[in-house]
Amino acid sequence: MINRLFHRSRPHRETTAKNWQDEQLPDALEHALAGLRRDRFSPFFAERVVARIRREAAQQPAELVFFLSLTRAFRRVALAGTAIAVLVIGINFMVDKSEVDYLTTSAVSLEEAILPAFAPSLEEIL
Amino acid sequence: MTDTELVKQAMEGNERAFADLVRRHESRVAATVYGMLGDCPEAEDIGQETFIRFYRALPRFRGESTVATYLTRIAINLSLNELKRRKRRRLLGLHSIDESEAPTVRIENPEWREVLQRALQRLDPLFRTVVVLRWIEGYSTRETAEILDVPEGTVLSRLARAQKKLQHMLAPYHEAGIAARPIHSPDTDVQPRPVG
Repeated sequence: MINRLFHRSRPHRETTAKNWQDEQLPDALEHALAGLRRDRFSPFFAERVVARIRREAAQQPAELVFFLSLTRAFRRVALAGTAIAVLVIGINFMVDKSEVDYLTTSAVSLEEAILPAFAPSLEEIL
Repeated sequence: MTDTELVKQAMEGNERAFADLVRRHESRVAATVYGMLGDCPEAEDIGQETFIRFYRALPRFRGESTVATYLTRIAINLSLNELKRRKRRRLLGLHSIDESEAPTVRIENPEWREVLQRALQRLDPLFRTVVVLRWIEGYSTRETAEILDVPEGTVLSRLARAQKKLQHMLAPYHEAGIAARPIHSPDTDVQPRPVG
């Protein structure tokens, strides 16, 4: 009962209306409060904590999901980018090769170089 | 096996070692959480969350404080957060259950434990924290100061003020002779006198 809060905790002293609040209640209160201690959760608490940790570990956190989706998206972009780069290099190489072929062909005569192809030859004019 | 050894094994992924740590410190965490929040459904969730936070913090745990102190600190912080959340919900009128609406105690059938518990729940969280740590958990003043990261003098002054408030709140039951009805609010729930 709550009466215990106000019982004398020091038997050699008399409880009076004057002193109970100042001297005796603190001791009794301290004891009573210590009696409030509830030191158990419901049964199998530790097992539930471990199960929750396991469950949380199995679920990927949102940041990780975002990071993984970024990685996947980047992989696609990277593959497409690489393919385009290979294509551009190939075209470039082919263009360069045709230019080289053009330069290595037989030398152009001065007439051919100066006069357009459709221009009538000197023989035709004369 | 010591706490340090269990922590080391838990860090290596040994679930059984972590479960042993939980079992070993459950009582301390339960006492802290129930002391701070009272007997409510959220208490166990807060208890679980305390250990989960500890598990996540294992790689950073350097053993500067004991496992018990570390867990108590987490439990106190989470409980204070829960009290703030309750206060917000009360202010917004979103939640109907809080310490002022906890299961009622009729003075005609006074259970000292419940009366005391309700008086404790009416203390300001700052004072409640020192009462829980010092008187319910039995930590020393120095340990309480270390957990709360405040000077020892602050702990002592909060304790003195908490004691005064509790005495004031419980005085009606003494003056009325406990078994009788409360002086100020007959036939109603326990309503401690306002503390100035």
